[in-house]
Amino acid sequence: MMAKRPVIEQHSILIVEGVDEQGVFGALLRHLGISDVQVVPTGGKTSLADGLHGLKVSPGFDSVTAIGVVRDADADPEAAFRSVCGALSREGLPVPAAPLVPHGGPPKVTVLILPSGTRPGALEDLCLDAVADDPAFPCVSAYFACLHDAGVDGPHNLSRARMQVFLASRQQAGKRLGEAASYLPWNAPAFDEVRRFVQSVRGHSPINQI
Amino acid sequence: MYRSFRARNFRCFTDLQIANLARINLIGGMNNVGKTALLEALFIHSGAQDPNVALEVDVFRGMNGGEESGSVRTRTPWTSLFRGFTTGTPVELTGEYITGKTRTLRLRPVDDPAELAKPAQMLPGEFARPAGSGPPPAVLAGDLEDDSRGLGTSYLGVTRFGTGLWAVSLRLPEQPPTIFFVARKRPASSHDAERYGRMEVIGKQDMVRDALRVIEPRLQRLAVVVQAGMPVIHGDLGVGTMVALPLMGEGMTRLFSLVVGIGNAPDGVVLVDEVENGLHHSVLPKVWQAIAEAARQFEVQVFATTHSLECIEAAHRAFDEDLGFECDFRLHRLERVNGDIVAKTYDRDALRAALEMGLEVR
Repeated sequence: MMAKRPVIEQHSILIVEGVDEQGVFGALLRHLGISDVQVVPTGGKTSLADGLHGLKVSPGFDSVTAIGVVRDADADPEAAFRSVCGALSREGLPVPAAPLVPHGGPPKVTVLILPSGTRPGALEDLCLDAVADDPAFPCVSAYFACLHDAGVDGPHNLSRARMQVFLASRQQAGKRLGEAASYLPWNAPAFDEVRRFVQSVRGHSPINQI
Repeated sequence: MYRSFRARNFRCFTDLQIANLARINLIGGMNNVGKTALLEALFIHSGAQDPNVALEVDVFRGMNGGEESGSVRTRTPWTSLFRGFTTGTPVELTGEYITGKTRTLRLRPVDDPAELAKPAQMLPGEFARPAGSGPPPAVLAGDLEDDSRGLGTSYLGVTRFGTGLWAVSLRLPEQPPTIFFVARKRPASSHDAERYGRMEVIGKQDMVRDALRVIEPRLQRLAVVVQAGMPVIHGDLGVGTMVALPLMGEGMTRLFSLVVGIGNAPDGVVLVDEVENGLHHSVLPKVWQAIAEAARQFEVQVFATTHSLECIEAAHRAFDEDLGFECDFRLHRLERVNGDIVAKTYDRDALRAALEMGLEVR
């Protein structure tokens, strides 16, 4: 039997980049006890602009009242935000003035640039911040210092590699970030901004404004 | 060729607007969102000068255009065309063509005695009744406008004794043909043979053969063979004897019908309900390419409905490739939003993204 393809079922949606982001934000929503926000990944191959283009004509989109867009800053957080704004504008969706500032609506749009609105990096950097107090963390740092001292070329994406090494210290090792998100300490201060963002997107659904 | 189409108060549509129509248009959506109704609206609109066309669509659905429309008993055979079986608001079908011209057909029952006098003048026998006896004759008017300029009105009525219909058609210059492939009914093989004969006359028989090779690569040639007085298409598979096309399977006859149908509707419209019927998913991309090639050669616009994700994916794959010619393709998914049916149109990029994201597109 053919697998059922997902449709948009909630008034509030989080548009994220890939399966890791889907897993992490899904785990965060479960932690917060939120079941009326739907995480929609654009997938590895599809750009946010194309993803929004496809999403806008998908079943259920007309009922969406709040959209949260999550995007990695990569090398330049401002450029990342501008890129998101360009994609929103092309689809005729509200364009916020700054990250974390909701705009327009419905659907009301809020943008979150990871790890924060002002520094380069990605989801893994945010997660590393959150686990910085974990007893395993010095061991992770020591491992990469050891590699460096041994003259081994480090991985291209050091943050992703550090996160993988950290996850290798958990009981069920070998999972990628999205699958192992239940190990993340959701109450860590590093996740404050993300928690507020998710709550804010949820708050813009009509049910939660009553 | 249509650029956009609008159906107001027709069947299940309050006001369906569908824009950005392409050469090849695939219509998707759940059950009971009006996929077939959209084809019917296009069929009625494209044959607007002939009021009989308005009732053919019920016959295609297996109803005989009589008094029963579904479970609702209706006074006239056309009541089922009107939204909610209520004839108080006219049906209005408007097509905008790529030339910029707009044509509107407005269907409405006629109650005004002054207007009834017009068809009565032409068909006095149908209107002859002793004064004050029985209800007034049931008449449907079809007002046709081009760019808001009235072209005239056609009339359709139930015959005096209620046993049939009469029609007063509009005299318009010859219109491009429209062919409707109904889901539940296969074209008669004699019909297909006749259409193939017309393609032979204009030297396009190889195009049909090449299209069928998508399914049967051994096919060398096609021929019309008369069996018991009936023309039946046969194919030469190099097996020593010609084989009747129906014996080669449902997919062969389906593709044959589609290609010769397109070939017989130059500059016109071909409507296909449940296009994937009889076709294995593995051949669907090639079938789409064959349909596109035929549509290009004969400048035909194709509207096809589907329930099948495989069919949508196949169309996307087929038209994402370089076909060696420009072929525009759109998926129009009909969806019920707040009780009304709306069309969501996917261009190539939107469909690619939605498929890659695993989103529902049917």
